[in-house]
Formats: sequence, structure tokens, C-alpha cells
Amino acid sequence: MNNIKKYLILVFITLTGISCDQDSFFELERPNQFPWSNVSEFELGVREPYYLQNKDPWYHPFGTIALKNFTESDIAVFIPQFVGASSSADYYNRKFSNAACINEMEGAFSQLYLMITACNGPLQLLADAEEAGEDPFPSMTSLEKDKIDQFKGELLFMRGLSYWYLVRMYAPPYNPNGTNDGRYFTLRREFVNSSEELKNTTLGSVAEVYDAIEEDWTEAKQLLFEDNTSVVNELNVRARANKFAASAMLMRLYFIKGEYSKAEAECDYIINSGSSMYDLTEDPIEAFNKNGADGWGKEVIWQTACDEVSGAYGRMESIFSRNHYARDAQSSWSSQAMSYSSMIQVGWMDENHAETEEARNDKRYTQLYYRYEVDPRSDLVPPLVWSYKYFRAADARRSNRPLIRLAEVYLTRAIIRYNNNDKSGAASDLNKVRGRAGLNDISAEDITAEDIHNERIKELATENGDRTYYLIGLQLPIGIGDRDATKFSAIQPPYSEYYWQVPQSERDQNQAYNN
Amino acid sequence: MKFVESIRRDGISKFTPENRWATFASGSAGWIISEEDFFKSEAISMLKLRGSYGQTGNTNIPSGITSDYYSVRTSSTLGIPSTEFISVGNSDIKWETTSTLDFGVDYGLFNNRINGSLAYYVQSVKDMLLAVALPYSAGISGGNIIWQNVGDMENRGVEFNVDANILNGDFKWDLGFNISYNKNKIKALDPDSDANNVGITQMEADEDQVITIFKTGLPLGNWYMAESAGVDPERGIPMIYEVQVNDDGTTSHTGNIIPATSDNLANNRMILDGKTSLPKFVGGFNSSFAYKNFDVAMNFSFAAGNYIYNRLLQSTLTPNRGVRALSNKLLTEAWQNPGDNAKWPRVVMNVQHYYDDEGNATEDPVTYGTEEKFISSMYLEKGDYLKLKNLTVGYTLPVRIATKMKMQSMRVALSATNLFTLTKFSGYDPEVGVNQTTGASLVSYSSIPQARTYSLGLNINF
Repeated sequence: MNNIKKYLILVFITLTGISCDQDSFFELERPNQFPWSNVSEFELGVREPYYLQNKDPWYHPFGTIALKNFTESDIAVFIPQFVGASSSADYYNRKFSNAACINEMEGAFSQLYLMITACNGPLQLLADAEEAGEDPFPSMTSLEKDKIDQFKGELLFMRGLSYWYLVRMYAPPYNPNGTNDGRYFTLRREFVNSSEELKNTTLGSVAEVYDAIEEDWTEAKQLLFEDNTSVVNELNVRARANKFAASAMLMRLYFIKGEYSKAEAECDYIINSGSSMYDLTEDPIEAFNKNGADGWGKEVIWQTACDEVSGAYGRMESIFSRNHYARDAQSSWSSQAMSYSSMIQVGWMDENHAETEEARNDKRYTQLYYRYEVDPRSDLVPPLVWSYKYFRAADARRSNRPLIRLAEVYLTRAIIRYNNNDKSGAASDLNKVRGRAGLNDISAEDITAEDIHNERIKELATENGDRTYYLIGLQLPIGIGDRDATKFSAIQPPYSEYYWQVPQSERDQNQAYNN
Repeated sequence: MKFVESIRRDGISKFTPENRWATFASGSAGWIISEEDFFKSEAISMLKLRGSYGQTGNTNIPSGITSDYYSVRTSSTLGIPSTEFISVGNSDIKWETTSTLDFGVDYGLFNNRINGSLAYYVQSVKDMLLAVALPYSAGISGGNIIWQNVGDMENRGVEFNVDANILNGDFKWDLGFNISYNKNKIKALDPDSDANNVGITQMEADEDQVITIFKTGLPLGNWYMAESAGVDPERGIPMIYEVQVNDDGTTSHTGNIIPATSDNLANNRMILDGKTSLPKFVGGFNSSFAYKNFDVAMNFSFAAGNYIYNRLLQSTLTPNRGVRALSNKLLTEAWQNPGDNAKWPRVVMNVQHYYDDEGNATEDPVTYGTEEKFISSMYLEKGDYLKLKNLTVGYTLPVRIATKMKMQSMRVALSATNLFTLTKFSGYDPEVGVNQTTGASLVSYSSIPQARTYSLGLNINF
């Protein structure tokens, strides 16, 4: 009994001792801080926006912009029997801001802001350190300092890319002669974690968004390494941005804004300084038939990192190309092929829609396009030429997709040179691309703008929504293609109705839209 | 007369030190009148007046929500690891406190053969905890929400129950009944959410559509969507009521009926007056009989006054991509010819009709919402039900026979659960949970109804 009393007293004293200082018992110091404590951990934060860009099978942004812009353009035709899981009919019918923002347009919007937040977090850590006059991590070696430069460049590159996709889908195209003061979506370049700021955001004007992209990519270009092999921990290094990738995105930005001399300077830089890394010596297919870290085509400046081991690989290219994502065969939901008008225009079909000799002589046609005389799914579908650029590697679903190729840089410089009356320069660039496709040169005397436009269709159709981008960059009308001329007319510059609404739930939840 | 008081101080590590501790008081008083000398009644065997006040704290929130949270994606989902931003923290988050004041009478009649209670309560919830929806532009990979103390709410209600031992001879019969009525109202929201009369609109995580609204003066999780006006008999298209938003933030009909196109559905959403997923009445009754060695017991439950969004019905009535099963109602109840007063619109693929926002005929298809987004109350149904939850029929072997068989006792019982439900709700089961975030009840193809079970039991004691 005495023992029990002793124990009880002991327990009482112990409890009293502990309970005197309850707060320290519970206490966990938890100020908000970012999770990266050294340079290699920081790289995990750098990889996240790449992962998000590639993550969603049906809504990944680069697939969405390609699907939407190709389908809206004059070089696509829509086969309504095979409408798949998408808003393809609305794209083809050019509903734009009058259509409900659903499917890919809603999914990509959400995905792009995940990417932006994924960039803003690590960038905030760097900005905070800079403001405090400190290195972001203690005792960094010079290699680690180089890595931080590269990583910051990549984060800026990816943030700029996210806004680039947003501004090209959810706002009217940049008007070189206008004020561009319309405000369509949130522009946020800091890491924000208060509910007030997240629920009541600042909508950036089109001009502000373009300025932000330019600023991000300009700084990215300064920071990124030309050859990033030594500064990134990645087998598939071409999936990580380098200086040339940032330069190529600046080229696109300047071109679509009509700042052609700046765009040309970027082309010059890539072609001249990148000559040891990129060339057009390989067949066209070589950019499209690689898996994961197998390597990359010699013209590939940047590609997606399809290293997925889960099911989260992109599939939506099946909608606007021949291949099913899992096999080298017609997909059951392929619904957009090349329009007859575009095929006749580039000389790959005659007036009766028959295949031409010119087509058969073109390596791109034989390697990256696929003509069905009879569609295996239905004999009601007429003979069509399909894009055949996707899911072409041995493991089809995990094929890398090139997002920037050298051929585009040559073609962009060709049209800029042509418009500056540098016909021999233009012909020289154009013939680089033609020569790789196995075609004869076009002389400086004979070259026309049409030659360059057509070469670009053959080279870049379905990639990045290039066709509408190119026409907008040149302030040319976006023709109707095969659409019914009694219902459709060309979209004329400044294309002020050519954009999609942001999703309804963004309008509901973001008070900036109610103010 | 008796008084009981208590006071307690609770701390929880889910909150920051500043908001960690809270003090909760409670007290109760009771007066058993029937024990007083002056109380003389043959019929009333027990009468007690009681009242209580109690405070409790709700900490039913996830841990780790006071600060931002990242996690590492592993190589099982990604070839290369990366850090995912899971949630945004709120260091101001604090206890949600519920204070309940109730008054009641407990009674017993005829030697307590009939007994029960009647009570009235007022429950005030202060600093209500809610996972508030954020816009897509928040860009939070783990989900666009933030936990907040959004405001104050009040529940008022009445509870009544009675149990009666009606027969007590060879034939025994006990009967019980209980019912409660509850009405709730949001008393205040944080000033941010109350600004411009916007309120907080919430959406289902898997649906990406706003379906409920939290707003001062409204009940919790009021349904918020375009109000269906049925099917146009001439054109076979779904129609909705045109809505105007008044200066005070309320919504009302303009008197026009317009086609349920996606645009109209988005721009004519309405606070559906008083319609929520929380039942106004819930209760049940039970009855047990016994005659000699046979016994029968049954247990009913009911709920009334709530609304359920029947996503499954919508899905099976919407031929489009991804649908794997369609309802036969499309053959019998859908619009077919001009003049039909049909329950469901004309059967079309992908919810596309050839009439525009104003109802004019078009050559190109016009999208009338989708299965997942831009919905109307066409598929919002009353959730009232009466359900036989349990029925048991048993037989106990007479003791003398059991003894002969060398047993103390033996009982055979057949019991069944969820035998039948009386309801106008067209889904499988109107007994649906309420989502904590949206305050909404929603059934979809993945909602599994409660199982009906039969069991036969043999209970032998040696």
C-alpha cells in the first residue's frame, strides 16, 4: 500500500512538472518556409513545372494549344463522326469566347496556374535571399552557384512559358497598333499564400502580360547555360531549358508582336552560336521517334520529358493526328486531319485530292504524315492526310515531343529576311529546310512569300499551333480552309474576338472579376 | 434541484501557439418537480425541467494547415522526383466554438410506462471552420482550397421523443418515436466574403462546378444553380428561369423563361430559396412485439426537407462521351414531337440543340451545358424518405424443451436491414452523406447505396 502511495505521489509530481509548461510541450516552431535546404533539393522545385506541363493526359498545355490552334486554323479539317473527348467542334466552328470554357480549355487553364505557382515558390526563395544580401543556401561551391543561375533561368523560362500559353489562349492576340489594355486573367509573379490575395487577384493587361513574359525570358536567356549538361541532374537534358531555348521563345515572342528585327537577332544567335549543337542533317523523323533519355534529334532545341512511369503521359495528340497514343495505328478518336485546301496549296494533293509526285518526294510527307485512301474506321471518311508526328518512338505513349526545332528558326528568319528584301538570305534559310526534306533549292530570283508560308505548313503543321501563330505574327488573315464559305469568313487582324473565356469557376471564385 | 458546472481548457497542436488554447464552460440545472412535496398526480409519475449551457470546440480539420505544405513526388508516379505544392497554410486558424443552450422537459406517465422528453435548443457556432474554395489561379497542386474561420452560424431546433410500453401481458408491445427539427442560418461571414454580397461559393472537388453558396442570412450550403423550368413543349429543349441579381445580392426571377444554353446556365444562377442538403426533420420510430416465445422488432428512420443533386440521373439521361449506361427513361419520358409535355428534353448527343440563347433556331449546334458543368435544378430532387432500417423476427425455444435438449436457451432470429424505402427520390438511396466542404449531397455513378442484408441467427447457450 505504501508503495502505491509513493508511485501516486511520483506520478503527481511528474504530471505537475510537465503541465506547468504546456506550450513548450506542444511547441513546434513552424514559420512558413520553403522546403528546399540545399542546391540539389532546390532542383526538385525546378523540375516540378516541367512535370506539371507534361502531367495531365488530356489537358497538358502544350497539347491543348496545339489541338486548339491547329483545329481553329485554315489547315485543319474536322471529321465530325469521330468527335473525341474534346471541344474540337467548338474550335473548328470558331466559337471562341462564345463557347463554354470546358474540357481542355478549362483543364489547361488550371494546369498553367499550377505551373506558375510551382515557379513562383522557388523564385521567391531566391528573391528573398537576394533581398537579404545572402546566398540562397549556405556554403555554396562555384558549381552550385552556376546551378542556381541555371535553375533560376529555368524557373523564369517556365513561368514565361505558362503566361505565353495563357495569353495566346485566353486573351486576344497582341495588337502591334493597339493599346492591348484588356484584362483577362491573373498576372502573378510573386509567391502568394494569403487567402485575400488568392481570392482577389490582379488581372494583368495583355500588354503587361507580354512585358512580363519578355522580362522573364530575357533574364532566363542571360542566366541559362548554352550547354546545360554539367549543371542539371537529368539524363534527358534537352527536356530542360538552355540558353537557346530561351532565345527561341524570345524569337517567337518578338515575331508575334511584330518586332521582327529583334526576332531575327534571336534567330541569328541560335543558328550561329548553336551550330555545334543543332543542325538539320538528320531525317525529319529523328526529332519524333525518341523515348525518354534515348537521346534527341539533332535539330531539337527543347522537348518534353516523357519519363513517366505512371499513366500520366499525354494522349491528346491522338485527337489531331493519326496515331493512338499506345500504338502505331489509327486512333479511334482522331478527328482532325489536314484540310484539302492546305494540301492542294502546298502541292501534296491535286485538285481531285489525289496524292502528288511532289508529296512522295518529300521526306516529311513520307515520314511525318500519313495518307489514308480508306479510313480503317469508316469508309464514309474520304481520303485524308493526317499528321503522323506523335507517339512514334518504340514505346509510343512515352515518345518525347519536340517543342522547339531548328527548322522553325530557319523558317522564321526566312520570312523576316524576305520581308526585308533579303531574298538571297531568305532562299538560303528556306533551302536549309527544303534540302533536309530531300527537295530542290528555290533560287533567290524565284522565291516568293508563298513558298515560305507553304514550307512552314509542311514543316510545322500541328506543332505548337504554329499556323495561327505564324499568320498572326505576320498580321495576315486566318483563312477559312475547308469550311463553308457561306457561314465562315477569314479572321482579320487585329483578331480581337479570337480568344477563349477563362473558366466560369475562375470568374466565380476570383473577386477580381466581380469588381 | 441540482446544478452542475464545469470549466475546461483545451489545447491542440493543430493550431499555432497564439490560437492553441481555448476555455470552454458548461453548466446545467435540473429540477425534478415530481419529487417535490407539493406535486401530487396519479398520471404523471415523473416530471423534470432541465436546462443546460455547454461550449465545445471543433478541431475536425486536417493537421498541418497552419503553414504551407510541400511533398516530394516519388518515382512511382514520376520518372524524376519533384516537389509538389500541396496546400497553402493559414496561421490565423483557430478553434471553432459551439455554444449550446437548451431547455427541456423530461416526463414519465402512468408509472413511467410512457416516458420521453421535449427540448428546445439554440446552438451558436462561432468562427466556423471551412475549407474555402480558391480560384484556379491560386495554382495549388494539392487542391485550390484554404482552411478558414469563415464566420458564425446558428442552429435552432426542437427535439421530441416518446417511448411507450403499451401492452405488458402475454402480448407485449413497446413503441418509440423521435423527431427533431433543425433550422440553420449563417449569421455572419468574414468581411471579405460578405463584400459585394458575393458570399462563398463552393464546388465539389471532382466536379469543378460551383453548386452551393455560403452567405450571411442563408442556411449553410444553399444550392446555387440555374432553376429549371422544364422542357419546352414545342422545341424539346430544356428551359430555365431568367434571373436578376438585386442590389442586396439576392436573386429573383424576371418572369422570362429562356433556353438552358451554357451561357444562360452560367449567367442565370440562382440562390434556390431555402434549398439545402441538410434535412429539416429527422427522426425514427421503433416498435417491438412479443407474444409468448415469438418476438418482432422493427426500426424506421426518416428525414425530410433536404435536396440531393442526382448526378447519376443526369449522367444516364445525357448521351455523350464517356457514358457507359443510359436510362430507359430516354425512350419513354423524353420529348419526341412538338406538343409533347415531356419530363426530359429531346435526346441529343453531347447536350447540343439547334436553338440559341434566345431560343431562335440555328444551323450550328449550341451546347446546353455539359454533364459536369453548367447545371440546372432539373436533376435536383427532394430527399424525403421513410426507411425500414431493421426488422427482426425471433423465436425462443421454451425453457423446458431447451433443458431437455441439454441447453439453457435457444433463440432463432431472422433479421433484415434496409428492407424498403418510401421516397420520391429517383436514385438508389436517399440516405446520402453531406460533403463537409460544400454542404452538398450529391450522388453519382460511384455512390454506392446501402446494402440490404438478411441474416439468420441461431443463439444457443449451454
